[in-house]
Amino acid sequence: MKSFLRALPLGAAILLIGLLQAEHAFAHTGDGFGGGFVSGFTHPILGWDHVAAMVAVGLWGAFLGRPAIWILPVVFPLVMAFGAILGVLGLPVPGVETGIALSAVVLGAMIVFAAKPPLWMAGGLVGVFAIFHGYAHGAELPATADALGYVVGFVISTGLLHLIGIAFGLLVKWPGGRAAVRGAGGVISLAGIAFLAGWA
Amino acid sequence: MRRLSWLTLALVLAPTQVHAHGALPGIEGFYTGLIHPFSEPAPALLMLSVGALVGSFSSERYVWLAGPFALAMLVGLVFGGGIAGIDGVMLAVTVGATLLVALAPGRLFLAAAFVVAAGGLLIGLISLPDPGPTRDRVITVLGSLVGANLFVLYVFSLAQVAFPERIDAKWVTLGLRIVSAWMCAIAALLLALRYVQIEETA
Repeated sequence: MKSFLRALPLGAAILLIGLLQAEHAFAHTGDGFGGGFVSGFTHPILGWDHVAAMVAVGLWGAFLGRPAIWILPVVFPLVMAFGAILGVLGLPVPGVETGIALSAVVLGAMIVFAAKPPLWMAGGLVGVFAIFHGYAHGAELPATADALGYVVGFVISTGLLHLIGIAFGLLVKWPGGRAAVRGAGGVISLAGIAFLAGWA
Repeated sequence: MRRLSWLTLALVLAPTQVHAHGALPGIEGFYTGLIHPFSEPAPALLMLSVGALVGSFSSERYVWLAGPFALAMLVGLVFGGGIAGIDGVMLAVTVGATLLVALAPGRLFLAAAFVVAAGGLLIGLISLPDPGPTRDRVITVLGSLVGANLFVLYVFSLAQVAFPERIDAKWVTLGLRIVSAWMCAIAALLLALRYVQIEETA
């Protein structure tokens, strides 16, 4: 700690000099890999229906406990990729938007009621919904400027939303946290109903 | 300590010209070869997935996975050249490798050895430089061999040695599985996209 404090002024001086140095600004257009990545990364985040369902997967996993808590984030991207491939290939999947909204309703309800079905059933349910979410991402993919950046962005973004849900879901260890997580499930379920009814 | 700090500051602030140079004749070709397996999305994903697959097995298995990779890469270098559609094959092998890590880490050894060898062969096939002086080509090929095999060793060391020293090994395996699932999704989608583009141009 002392050595850290002693090195602090020198570090601050170097940082200050670095900040004051005049540098060229590298203005960019937002296309290419960076543009594609940002577009893909923000696609699941900017859609509230996606956010609600992704976080719900993590929250429900926390209620189910091990190994489900860690199996769902492994299985979801794999099945989601399958759905996205259907979207890329243009194969018809009926009721995509309804499926996405339903995923928030059902997964939210599972959290509210602290449902604990067998692992295969939980995995199957999450997998079915993953296909709808993947399809929505995949259908938009061919039109993007940089496919690689878009794909990398949306996969990482989806995974991080799961991890946010899991992190919040870990509160179930405490009674107050359990109530908070079930409450969050209720909010997600209500949001899903709003998506279904077209209110949001 | 204070003198050293001032000296460091003076060195940082001293304006000096950069004398970029190649220390050894032909070393640029070596570096070109070194980074070549990571210069395009498909081979970079393949290298990452092969590294993760080797890293999902215990230390005793390393030689039996890294060995076939190196040998297959040598075979690929011998028969290398421009092969149409090789990117698609690389993405398909990436899907196979990442599926093995995500769903059965450290298991199905024979399947893993086959996929790792296929990865080595493909990296070898794309690593043969364009025609030119033999000496330069040999140096570049050496760079590719060193780069690809060191990378596999590096990822394996991270997964089996460096991280488990600090984090519980089961968390490392879990992280490897989650990242592999993400890579699998990325590779599968890029493969589908390639198929669509080929269909559109045909």
